[in-house]
Amino acid sequence: MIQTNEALSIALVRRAARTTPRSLSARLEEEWLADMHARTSGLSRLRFAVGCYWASVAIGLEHRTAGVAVASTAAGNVPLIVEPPSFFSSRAVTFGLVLSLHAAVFAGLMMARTQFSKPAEPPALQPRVIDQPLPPVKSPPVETRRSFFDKFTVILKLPPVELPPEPTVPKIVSDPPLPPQPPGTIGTSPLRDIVRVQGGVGPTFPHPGDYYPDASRRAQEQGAAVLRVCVDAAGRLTADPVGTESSGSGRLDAAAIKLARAGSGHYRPTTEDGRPVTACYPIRIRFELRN
Amino acid sequence: MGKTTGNVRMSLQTLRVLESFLENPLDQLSGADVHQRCRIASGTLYPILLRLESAGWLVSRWESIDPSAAGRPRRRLYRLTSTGLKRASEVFASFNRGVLV
Repeated sequence: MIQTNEALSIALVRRAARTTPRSLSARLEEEWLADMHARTSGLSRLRFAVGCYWASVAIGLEHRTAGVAVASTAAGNVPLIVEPPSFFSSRAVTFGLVLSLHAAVFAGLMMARTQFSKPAEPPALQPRVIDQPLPPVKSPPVETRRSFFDKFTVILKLPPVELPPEPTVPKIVSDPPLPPQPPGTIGTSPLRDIVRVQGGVGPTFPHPGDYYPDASRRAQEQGAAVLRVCVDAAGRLTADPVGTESSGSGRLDAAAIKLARAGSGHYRPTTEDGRPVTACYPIRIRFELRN
Repeated sequence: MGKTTGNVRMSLQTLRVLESFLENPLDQLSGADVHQRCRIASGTLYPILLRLESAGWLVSRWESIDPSAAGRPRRRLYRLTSTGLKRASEVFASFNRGVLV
């Protein structure tokens, strides 16, 4: 590492000296290498070499500058050289560099803002056709898991239901919701219990991270709000969500309401005997910061 | 080096370089010595030294050592000329009188 640093410094000084006018380059190379040798630390030598590069630019510009105007002091004894304006003067180059850096930083900030403010679109669901016949299924206790919150997990243990085998026909997994049927047509016995599975958030429900308030992020606010939502058979809200339990932060509560509204159409409806129905149920929305 | 014009662009860094030579006008200083005295970075220091030499305020020569015996390369040494001493003194005198241009 030290040898690399040393070699880099020497190469920089030699290259810098070669960019100066031909009458000076040999002398400056020897002079700068000798003065760099007097520096003790590798970092100091590297800084010296970079400075020599800058010096070579300044020396080259001064040699190209033609004509000077002379100004005198009020005392008449301190003459000054006023260089004619040059497009490539050191000040113009420095000003250009500073302006470019500011523009680059501004552009970077704008791009970052655009990227982070736009919520990512969930992947579209693709229907999949299964050609194989489905075997008879003895349904286990229904266990419903949500996509991203353990707190959303609802476990309903129901008695096993014997399902008849389905005919051997291609089946589309993402079937449309069944039309509501009139009461009394479910099963053969009017006394049979209705198997009701409470709805919740669907797999395409918006992610809370996209609705996390910036102020809450900065203040490291976390918490979970419980809302009551009424959802129809298609997973759409039928009424405005109502908060039933605060997260402890007004900002997070408002964000939870906003998220619940945005999720309309992405809820999983409550089902009764497998058929989606309109129903109201609580959902818990947790905002938590992760590293 | 170059033509002696006697005109030098005055800046704060130029004044600091001149001041380091004026501490002892008979001293012969290398660029490294001047850097140690006035802490000006190499990117600014060497153009100033060349400018002062070009104006005839400084003269330079190679250090008369044997690099292999000394174990280090020879340095370029600068010293004030009589003209440089006179003009630099005038510059500082004018500033002391509060004449700023």
